[in-house]
Amino acid sequence: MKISVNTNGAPVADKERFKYLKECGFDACDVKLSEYFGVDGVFGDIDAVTDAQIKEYFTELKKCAKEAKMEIGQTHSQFSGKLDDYEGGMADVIKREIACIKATKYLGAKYCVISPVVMEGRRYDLLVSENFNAAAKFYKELIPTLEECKVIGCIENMWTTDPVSRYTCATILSRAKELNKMVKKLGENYKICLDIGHCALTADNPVDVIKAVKDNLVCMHIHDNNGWADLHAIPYGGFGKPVGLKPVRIDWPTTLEAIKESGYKGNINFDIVPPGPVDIRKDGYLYLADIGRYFVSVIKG
Amino acid sequence: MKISATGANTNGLQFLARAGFEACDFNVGWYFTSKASPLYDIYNVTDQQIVEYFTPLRQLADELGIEIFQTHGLGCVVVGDFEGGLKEYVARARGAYLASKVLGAKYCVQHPSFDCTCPYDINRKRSVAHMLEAYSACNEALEEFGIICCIENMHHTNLTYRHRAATSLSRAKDMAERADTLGKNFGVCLDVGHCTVTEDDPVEAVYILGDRLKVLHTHDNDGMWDLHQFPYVRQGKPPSRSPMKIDWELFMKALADIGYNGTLSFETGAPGPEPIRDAGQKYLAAIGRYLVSRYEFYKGK
Repeated sequence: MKISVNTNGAPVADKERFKYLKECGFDACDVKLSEYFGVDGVFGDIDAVTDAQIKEYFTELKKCAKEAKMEIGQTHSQFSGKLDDYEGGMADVIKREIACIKATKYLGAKYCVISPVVMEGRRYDLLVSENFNAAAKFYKELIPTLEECKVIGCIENMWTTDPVSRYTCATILSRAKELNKMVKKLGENYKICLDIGHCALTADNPVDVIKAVKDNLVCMHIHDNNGWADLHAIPYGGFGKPVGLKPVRIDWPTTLEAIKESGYKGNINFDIVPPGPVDIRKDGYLYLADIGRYFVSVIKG
Repeated sequence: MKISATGANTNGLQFLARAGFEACDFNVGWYFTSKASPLYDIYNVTDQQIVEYFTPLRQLADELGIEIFQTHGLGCVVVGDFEGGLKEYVARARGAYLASKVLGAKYCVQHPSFDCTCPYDINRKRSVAHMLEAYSACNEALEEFGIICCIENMHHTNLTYRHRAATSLSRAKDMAERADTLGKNFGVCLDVGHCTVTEDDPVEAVYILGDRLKVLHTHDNDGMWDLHQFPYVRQGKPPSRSPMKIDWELFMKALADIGYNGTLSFETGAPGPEPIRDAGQKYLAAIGRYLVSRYEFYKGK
C-alpha cells in the first residue's frame, strides 16, 4: 500500500512532477490525462494523434517516473461525464478514452479511472435505467482496448447538482448497489474506484459504501469537503458540524477502519491539489504525505 | 511581523515552538472562567498566586523564543453569567489582565458582554449600552496593569433559522465607534473569520479600523459557519450559495497599507488525530510565513 497523489498539482513540467512529488514524500501517483487528451489538451486534436505519438510521449513519461522511483498506480481519463462538452459527441469521447487507455498502458499503470456518461436530468431516482444502459454501452465500447492494453477500467461514483435547490445530489453510479451492478454487467475488465469525497456530496456514508463494494474496490480518490461542494480538500480540513444544516461529513476514523476491514490492497491515493498560492504548494504536499503515512499506519494496524 | 497561534499551557507553547511559530496568543481567560481552573475562585485568589502561576509559563516562552504578544481574556461569557454580576465580571477580567502582564502581553482580547438575543439591529441600543457598561467597568484594572483591552467583532446564531448573523459589534464602523468611545485603554481585535460569516469584508474592515487595529484572530471558513480553518482551505464555491470568501492577498496588502504592526496570529490549529498534529501545525506556520512575505512585499512598496 503506497501513498499516492494526482500529479497535476505539482507546479513543474510534467516530466519533473514525479521527482517533485517523491521529494514531498509520495511513493506513487495518479496521472490525470485530461491535460493531454482533453479538447484543449496537448493531444486535443484527437483525430491527428497517432499511436506512435502516444507511445513515444508516455513511454518517456514512464521513464521519468521510474527514475524518480515513483509508481504510476492509476490514471484519470479525461472524460468528465458530460457529452455536451464535446462537439463530436460520443464518437469523439470514445476516441479520447481509447487514447487514455493506451497512455495508461505505456505509463505502466494498472488502472484507468473512467467517468460514466451522465445524462441530463439523471438525479436521485430519475432516468435510472436509461442512464445505466447508456453508461454500460459507453463502457462496453472500451472493452476491446482495455483487453488489448491489459488495463482495468475503473468506474467511479459521481455526483450532480439539483437544478432547483442547487444542492449536490446523487446521480449515475452514486450508490454502492449500482456500482456493483455495473461491474457485474461489464465483466472482468472493470472494477471500482471509490471517490470518498463524492460520497459526502451524495449523502452516502463512505463506511457503508466501502463495505458494500469491497470485492470490486481497487483504487480510490481520497479527499475531504464540507458536504456541499466538491472542494477536494485535505482530510481533517476542519469541517466541523454546521449549525442547523446537517450535510454528510466524512468521519475519517471510521472510514479508515472500514478500509482496513475491507482488505483493500490498493494505494492511498489523494485526489488533491494543496490549496493556496504556488509558494506554499510544497508545504501542503508535505503535510498531505504525512497524513498519507498516518492513514497507512492505521489501515495496516 | 511575527507568526503567532493560540496556546494555553506548557504543551501548547512547546507545540508552537516545534512548528516554527515566533509568537503566541495565550488563553488566560480559561483560568478565570472555568471551574476546572486552580484560579477560578477569584475572590480567594491573590495577585501573588496569579503571578506565581504564570511566571514559569513566561519563562518557558522566553526560553522557547516565543513572544506572548496577545492573550485571550474573558470570552463567551456575559455579566449575567456570574452570580456576583458586574463586580465579579470585572474581578475575573482583572485576573486575566494581570496574567497578561506577567506573560508579557500588551493586548488582551475580551469578547463583548452583550445580550445574545440582539442579532442584526434588534435591541441594538440596549445591547450597545450593556456592552459599553461592562467594558468601561474594566478601565481601572486595565490602567493598573497597563493592558490594552481589545474588543472583537462577533457573530450570532439565529435561533429561528440556525444561520449566522451580525450583532451590534460586527461591523467595522461599529467597532471603531465603540473603541473611540471607550478610550485609550481599548483597541480592536479583528476576527477575520467572523467577518465572512457576518457578511463583512475583512479588507474593508482593516481600512476602516486603521490604527485602532491592534491584534488579529486569523482563520478561514466556508462563509457560512465559524469553522476556524486554515487560510485557503476553501477553494471552491458551494453550488447553492455565494457566501463571502476571504481574499488573503488583499487582506495582507490592507494590513501593510495601514501600517499594522501586530503579529499575524492564527486562531486555528492543526486538525485531526495526535500523530499528524505537528505536521499540520508546521503547514500552518508555512502558510503564515507566506502571508507575512506578502505583507512585507506591500510594506516595501
